[in-house]
Amino acid sequence: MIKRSGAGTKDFDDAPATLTAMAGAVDDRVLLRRHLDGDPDAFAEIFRLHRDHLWAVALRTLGDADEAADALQDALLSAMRHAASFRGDALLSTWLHRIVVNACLDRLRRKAARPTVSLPDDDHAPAASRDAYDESDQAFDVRAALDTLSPEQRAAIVLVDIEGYPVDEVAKILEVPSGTVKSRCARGRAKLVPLLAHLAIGNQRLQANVEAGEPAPLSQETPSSLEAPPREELR
Amino acid sequence: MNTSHPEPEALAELVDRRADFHGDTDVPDPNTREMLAHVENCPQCTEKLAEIRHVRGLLRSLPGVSMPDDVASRIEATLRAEAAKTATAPAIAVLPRQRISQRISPRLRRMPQLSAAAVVVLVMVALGGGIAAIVMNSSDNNASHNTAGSAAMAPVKPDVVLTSGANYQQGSIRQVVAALVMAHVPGSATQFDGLKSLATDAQSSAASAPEAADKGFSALSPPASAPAASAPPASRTSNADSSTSGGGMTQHAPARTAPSGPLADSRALAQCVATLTGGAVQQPVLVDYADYNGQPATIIVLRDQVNPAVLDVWVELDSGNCAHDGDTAYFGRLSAGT
Repeated sequence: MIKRSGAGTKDFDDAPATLTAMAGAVDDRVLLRRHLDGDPDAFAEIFRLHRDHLWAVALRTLGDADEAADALQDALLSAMRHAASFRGDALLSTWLHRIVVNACLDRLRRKAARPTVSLPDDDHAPAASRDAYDESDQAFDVRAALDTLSPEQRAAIVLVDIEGYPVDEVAKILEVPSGTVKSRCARGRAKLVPLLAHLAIGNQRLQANVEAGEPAPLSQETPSSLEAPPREELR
Repeated sequence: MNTSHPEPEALAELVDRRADFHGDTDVPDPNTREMLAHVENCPQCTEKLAEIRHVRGLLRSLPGVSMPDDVASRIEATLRAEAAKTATAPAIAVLPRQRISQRISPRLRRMPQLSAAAVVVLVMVALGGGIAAIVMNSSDNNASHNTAGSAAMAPVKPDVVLTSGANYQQGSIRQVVAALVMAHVPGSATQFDGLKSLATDAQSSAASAPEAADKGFSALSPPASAPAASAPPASRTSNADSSTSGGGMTQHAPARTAPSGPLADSRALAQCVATLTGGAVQQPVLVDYADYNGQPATIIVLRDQVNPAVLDVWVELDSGNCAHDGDTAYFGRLSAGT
């Protein structure tokens, strides 16, 4: 019998997170209304509520802190100027993520269209630079592996597998069917397998979980990506 | 049993699907069951499945990242500066420009905005005679024009339907709509916040524009004396002679003889309203089949989702589709000072 595993795994749609998300959505609506009514601080507050989630997505997708910061700023300015077009048929956070992800994908595609030429003897230019942000060797290897994916696969993997958003939510963010999200993730993971095989997180334990039909255990450090920032940030 | 090895993609999806099954009641479909049966007895596939789980586990166990303070401060400052810049201009007048103007031909874009006096004339025309007001309470005339894709949606019946032919402009639409609602919806002045003040703005503009005031702007003022939604005469329907009672004024465009455009169908309108409100079906307070910046458009006035005491004004281009952002403009609340 296949069951969703309990303790030790990340359950991204547990009740408290849902309630927090609902409360966040109400805050968003109030703030958006204030912004549309001319409050010059309201959109900055919306940004504060979502910035870490948006940052994580932009950073993971682009793999470069400076690029991520630029993409995020462009995206948020665009979102603010077009806030009147947000019609409430999705969560504001979904809409913001969509704008940010699209800004990142645009940058990735532009980069792909104009690849940097590396000379054959240019062995000091790694695909990803380690000083972009503080990270472990493992995170660095994962990021380098992500660089090999197409922008679309990369965005799907970042949102679903790294940030833990539900597939349906990611489908809304990317404006593609859920099946497309799943297949992008599946292809992306298949590409990552040979690149990440050397990073062990305990194959025996994985094996046991396969037999029990349970997802791989997650470390305690896994971020709860759907958890809203502390409410005290709201003034 | 299927003895062939599933493709790597199918295996990767299997990881998703197995994680999605909840409790004892979720039974995988036959194909998945078959694949599971194969995988459980195939060391090679079990190994591959473990590899995919391994990748997934690695990805999920990456440490979380927080936006660096300097980046956060920079972006926040940029947003505040930009917001302050736009807040000095009327918020509503600025926001929708980029959305709808993209669809407007360069020729039309060069058209000057309506002056305050012109706004007044426009309202007078709408009220005085260039308007065909149809109250939709009696029957659903449009049910037979049901469009594909909207069949499941119950039709909506706006409180007031107009075919003014007016050419709404970005800078004045809220004042004009406020005046129209005041004129056509009984009790609207007390029911909706800020309506009277907005309509009065239009009236004040008229006072400083004598040529317009002379032509009977007083028709706007008291809702009691204006045509009420519950009692417009049958003669003001599609066949009414709209050219004679408007004080001889001209309009940007001739009034339509009947609601037209994609949203003339009440189910399509319901679908559109549901899209605008995020799913809630509500009866529009007022719908005007008219023009926006010279393009055929439907003006939809809805009660605000958050605060039903305020009204929201939406413009949907006839050439567009409610589901697409670029076809819809939101003009915000009908309340003073917004």
